[in-house]
Order: sequence, then structure tokens, then C-alpha cells
Amino acid sequence: MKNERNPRRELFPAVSRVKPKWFYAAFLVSLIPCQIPFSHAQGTAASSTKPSPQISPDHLAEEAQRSLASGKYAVAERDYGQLLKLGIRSPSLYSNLGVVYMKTGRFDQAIQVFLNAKDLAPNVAGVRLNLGLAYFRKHEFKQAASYFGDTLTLDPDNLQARYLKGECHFMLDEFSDAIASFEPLEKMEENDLEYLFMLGTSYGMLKRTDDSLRIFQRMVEAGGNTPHLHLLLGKAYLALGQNTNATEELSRAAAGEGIPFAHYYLGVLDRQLGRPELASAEFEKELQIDPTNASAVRELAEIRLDQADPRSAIAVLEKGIAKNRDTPELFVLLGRAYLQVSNQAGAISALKKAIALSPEVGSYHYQLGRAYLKAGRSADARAEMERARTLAAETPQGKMQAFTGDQGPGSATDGSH
Amino acid sequence: MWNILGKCGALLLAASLACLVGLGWLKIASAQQKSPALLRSPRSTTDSVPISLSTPDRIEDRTWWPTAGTPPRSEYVGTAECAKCHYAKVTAQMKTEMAHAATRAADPAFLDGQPQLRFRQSPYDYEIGRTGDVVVESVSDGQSSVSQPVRFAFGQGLVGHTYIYQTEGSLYESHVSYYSDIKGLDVTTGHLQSQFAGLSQALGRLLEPQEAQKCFGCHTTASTTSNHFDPSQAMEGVTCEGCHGPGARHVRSMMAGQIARGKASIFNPASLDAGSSVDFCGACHRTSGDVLQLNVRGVVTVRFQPFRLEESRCWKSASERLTCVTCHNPHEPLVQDATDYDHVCLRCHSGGQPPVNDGQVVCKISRTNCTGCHMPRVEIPGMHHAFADHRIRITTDKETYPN
Repeated sequence: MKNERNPRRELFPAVSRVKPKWFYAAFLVSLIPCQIPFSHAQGTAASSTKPSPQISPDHLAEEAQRSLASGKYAVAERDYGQLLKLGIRSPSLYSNLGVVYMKTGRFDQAIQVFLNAKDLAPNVAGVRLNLGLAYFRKHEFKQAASYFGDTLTLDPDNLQARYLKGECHFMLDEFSDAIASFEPLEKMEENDLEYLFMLGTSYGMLKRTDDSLRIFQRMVEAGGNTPHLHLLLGKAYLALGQNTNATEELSRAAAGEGIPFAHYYLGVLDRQLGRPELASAEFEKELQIDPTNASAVRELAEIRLDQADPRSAIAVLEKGIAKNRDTPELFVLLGRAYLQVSNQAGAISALKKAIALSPEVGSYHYQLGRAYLKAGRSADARAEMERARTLAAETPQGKMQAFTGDQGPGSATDGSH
Repeated sequence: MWNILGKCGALLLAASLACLVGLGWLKIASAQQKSPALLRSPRSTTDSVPISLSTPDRIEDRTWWPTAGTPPRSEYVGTAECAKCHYAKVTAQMKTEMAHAATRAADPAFLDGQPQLRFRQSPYDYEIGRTGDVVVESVSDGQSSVSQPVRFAFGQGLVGHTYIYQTEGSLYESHVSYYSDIKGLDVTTGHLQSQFAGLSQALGRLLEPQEAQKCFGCHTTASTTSNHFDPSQAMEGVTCEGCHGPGARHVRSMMAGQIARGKASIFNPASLDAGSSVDFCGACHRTSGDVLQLNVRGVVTVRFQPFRLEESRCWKSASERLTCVTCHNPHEPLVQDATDYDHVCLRCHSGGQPPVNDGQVVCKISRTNCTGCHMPRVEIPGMHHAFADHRIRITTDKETYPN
């Protein structure tokens, strides 16, 4: 099962807002050569057909390139598809097509063609970087880190790969590896607040207090007295369990008009401290600032469910889903809320939507199984439970959900927990 | 002469028959003492494997389930009240490990036989000891020290104790625990760090309210009532009401002669089907549903006996399904002699013949101690204790932990 409640991801829910979009895409453009003469391309005789005399492969490739550069992705995709039908095979063709898929949010397809490019060009660093980016966008940080590592093996000076590798390790709570990736970049990233946040938090999690304080001080110098700085500091203190400092910084971030996520993290803190009413108020304020904040919707709905108020939870979720149709967690919560009001049909429908969005998450199948059970559909329930178990067995070693409040073995007892 | 012999013979025959009946009764009674479920009808004879749910789902679905925190404190009556009518069962249960899952530091038995415990994890020196009525945990780095009075010890002592202290309204889990197998302190399981920002951190780990609530929910009774967590009101250990639910209505009804109502107002886990029965124990010992939700894998799961049991063929394919109470009597202390469980295995694995028939070979390796091979003991790193793996199976020498 995916680790949907990774605390690091909750503290850093969005892809960097500081780094420009090109940072995650520049490698793609730079990889594409202007033109690869088709006499050098690898083709398969069996699949090759003679091009139309009106449109030569070279011309088609140029057109595709222009379409890609100008954002006409459908046209570019069509043209690259045509080249493939002509039997043209080249690393750049696959990479270009992968770019199209990335631009249009089809990361699985991008990965597939990038892998084809890798097979043809195994020692090209940019292809590995492509793959890393595609997995990164899917939030599959383990895979992404591996490909960024490969990139650095082929190109040790690739700063982008080093930064992104560090980010992956941070998201995976692998703080030693994150520090190892980030430290060489300290000089050039000394004004990048989010870099400093990740590095400082990583130091803090490893109890390297002096280094942590040094980096946080650098954040203050670089960030000035801005809400964004206070938000990042607040998140860092929250991650390190320094609740008083976290409250202070987050309150500063939330002061005045406030910025997105300031009230959200104050709510997270209140909830951790067992103050659900205060937490609710913070999440509601967050949603006034940013009605699309799915994390705030989720937290607020969970509080309502904890308070045995499923109808209120349903209202919150239905409103939230209207603005976040691609967030499976909200559909799962909606399913749970529907079950509490004995609306099994509604629950099944909501949970199926969650699974359609993320079919590989075992706990979603478990919840659907539970809904089927309540609806009296035992055979369907059993199938879903079995699917949940299969998915759990297929995932790599699970991690203890130490930050979800549910501890596994933690104390010396007589085997009772 | 013959009349006298006939009468004697008849008397002798009657006496012999009486002895046989008596012996038979004793055998049944003895077996019943080991496992109250032994002679009960199978819970399920269907071929379908029961579905395990997570504990939060069970709590949501029912009026009462262990660790549910909704009933008010006023509905709990305490074991002394239960003992007025159920004396034998209550006094037996009070000797169980579950009944001692938590002990208050003020209890004279706390640290009994262990006046002063010391442990060193450089650069820190730990000490736990009693001074009068107060048990104190302290840590020093050679220059300064920090101390806190201990409030609770979790664990009966079979594996060990972990200490809970409270300061500034927050609960903390001590960094060191007592382990019975080594008769001394070592780092508490799950406490991986060895570097701390200060002595306060070295002393113990903060328990967030949700986490503390769950710890106390299993180690005590009625620590959460009316959905409000307050460990000061908790009854130590798993008491009668920890499983059967609050007893006030039951007592009132029974005292008023309303027997049917009295029986209906107390929870009887014996009424559960096999799947629910195992999930019932799994409320604290972890159900398969809980493990799925937690995404826990690896050797640590050996402590989750309901989860492991449900991974067994004995669970999945049995027409007469094993549950926890097939082998364990929750009102009696844990039976430690492994051979005492052989008769349970042989109910199914003896071809229907009476158990331990000299003429019958059930296993090529041994005639006794089934669990010694088929439920191997697995040690969790750092816990100084090996747990019997409830995933019952045919083991091989080189097998890795089946996960």
C-alpha cells in the first residue's frame, strides 16, 4: 500500500513553489537534439514503410519539434506517432514523445517511452533524468531517487539531479541521504528557502542541532520577515516537535491576510495536541483562503467523523470534492461517512471512484470491501479484501505510521501490542 | 455363597462403573479448565474465510467493543462489584497477565525485587528506583541530570516493563525499559535514536495525545470515557469491563431480578462468530484489518497474534475454525507449558482418533510439543524476548520469516 499519510509529504504537500516550472522540465528540452538524421536512426525493416513523398521523415520531425516547442502537444503527439509507424526508432524521438506525455500529465506513458529511450541510449544522463522526473511527478520518490542517482553516476555535475535526489530522500524521511545530496549545493542554494527548509529539517531530524539552527538562521536572513519564511520555519518546527516555536511562526504566517497552508498547519498542530475544536476553526479559515486545499478538507472531515457527526463530514467532503475531483482520499472519507449514515450505495460509489483514481492502494480496497460487507455482498467483500492483502504483500517493506498516532510495537509488554 | 459373590460382584461392577464415569467427568472438567471453547460447537462450518476488519471499524459498527471510549465513566463499576456474583472467575482473571498490563507506581509491587535499575548508553546514565512511595526515573550526562516521577509501568513482566511519566500535562514513554530476559534495562523498543538535543529528550519520548490514548486504551480500562481521555480515572490492566463493557446496567438489572435484561446489557464475546471473535482479541493484539491499515510488515508482526493466526491454513481452510479462545482462556493465566496445547492440535490432526494414541503416528518427528515446531518462537530485535509465531505452519530449517 502507498504511504498516503507520509508526514513529510503533509509538511511539504506541493511541489516546490519557489523553483520555476522549467526546473522540472528544462532537462527535457535540453535533451532534444535539433534533428537526428534518419540515416542514423535505428529502424526495423519489418515495420518500416516508405514515407509519403509529400512529407519526409525529416520534415515530419521538424514539424513535431516546432509543435512541441509551441505547446501544440496533440499535433506533436500525432507526428511522433507517425514517425514511429514509419519504423523510426531513436532515443530523441522517444524522449520527445515522453515530453509530450509529461506535458499532458500522462506520466505512466512517459515512463514507458523514456524506458525505450534508455534501452537505445543507456549511457545518456538526460534519459535517466527524464525517468527520474516522471517518477517524481508521480510521487514515486524511491524510483525517482534511483534514477537521479543514475544520472549523477553518468554526470556528477548535474545539479538538477542532485537537488531532486535530495528532495526525494527528504520526502521518504531518508534524512542522511537527503543531507548527502543537499550539502554540496549549499553555497549556490543559500537563498532558496525551500532548499534551506529541507536541509534544516533534515539536520534537525538527525539531532544535528547546531547545523539545523545555522540553516534556519540562514532562512531568516534570506527570507526576511515574510509570511512564506514564517510558514517554512513553522513547518520545520512542527516536524521537529518544537510546538511552541511552531505555533509562533505559523501564527506570524497566518497574520493579516495570511497565506495558504498557514492555518492548515496550525490546525494540524492543534489536532496533534488534542484540540479538535481549535483545529476545526483553523481548517475552516484555511478553506476560506484556499477552498481547493484538499488536505484541509480531509482533516476537517476526519474531525467531524471523530466527533460522530457524519452528516457534517459529508457536507464538508461533497463541497471539497467539487473542487478536488482527483483526490482519492476525499472519496474514501466520503465512503466512510456514507457508511456511518447507512448509505451503502453511496459509499460503494464513492469508494469505487477512489479506486479508479488510485487502484494500487490496498486500504481503499479494504474500505470498499467493508462497504460491500455492510451491503450484504459477501462475495464482493471477500474479493476486495483479498485484493487489499495482495497489494499489501506486493509493496516494499512498509513503514510504521509513526506520525498517524497509531503505534505498532513500541513498549516492552507481554506481547499485547 | 453365590448370592454373596453375586452381590459383591454387582457392587464391584457398580463401583467400577462409577469410577469410570468419575474419571471421565474429571477429564472433561480438566479439559474445560484449559479451554472453555473446547467442547463448544464450532463457530462456523462454512467454507468461507471470515473477513477481518480493523478495530476502528469494529468500534464504529457496534455499541461495545474493547478500547471503545464512548461509554461514560459512571457506567463502569469495577471488578469488586463483578466479584460479588462472579467471585471465582474474577479472582482467576486477576491473576492473568492482561490484568497486570499496567501498574501504577504507587503500587507497592511496582519494581518489586528491583530496587534500583541502572543502564548506560553513552554519554547518558539512566537510573530507575523507588524512594518511599515515589518511583523516579533519572538520566545524567555526567554534568547534570534530569528526573521525573514515574506514573505507570506498562507490561506485566513476562517480557518486561516500560515506564510512563507525566510532566507539564504531557505523557512520556521512557527511553529505557526493563526486560525480564536480561533482568535489566535496555533501550525501549522503537526508540531508535541515541543522540538527543538535551537531557529531557534523553529521558523519554513525548506521547502525542492520540497515541497516549491508544496505549492506555489497551493497557488500562476506562481511560477514555465519553470520548475524553483521562488516565487518572483509569483502572489498571484489562479488567472484566475491558472486554465485557461497562457493567452498571447489568448490575442494576440483575439486582432488580430482571435477568433477561441483565444478560442483554453486558457483552458476551462467546456469542461472536469466529472472525469477530479473533478481531475482538485483535482490538489490542491487532487484527488483520489493523495490520493492513498500518502497512506493517516484517518480523515485528509476530506480536500481532490474531493477524498471524489468520495467515494460517488452520484458519483459512479449517471447517472448525481456530480462534484465540480455542487455546487460551482469558480468565486464566497463560499456560506456559507448550505440551499443554497438544490436545487442541490433535482434535483435528489425529484422524478423529482419541488424542495421543500409542498406536498412531501423527507426526514423524515427535509425539508431543506440536507448537515447538509448528509455531516457532521468533525474537524481535531489541526486545530480548521470543514470541510464538501464531502463523501455524510446517517449518523448514532455512525458512525466512513468512510475511
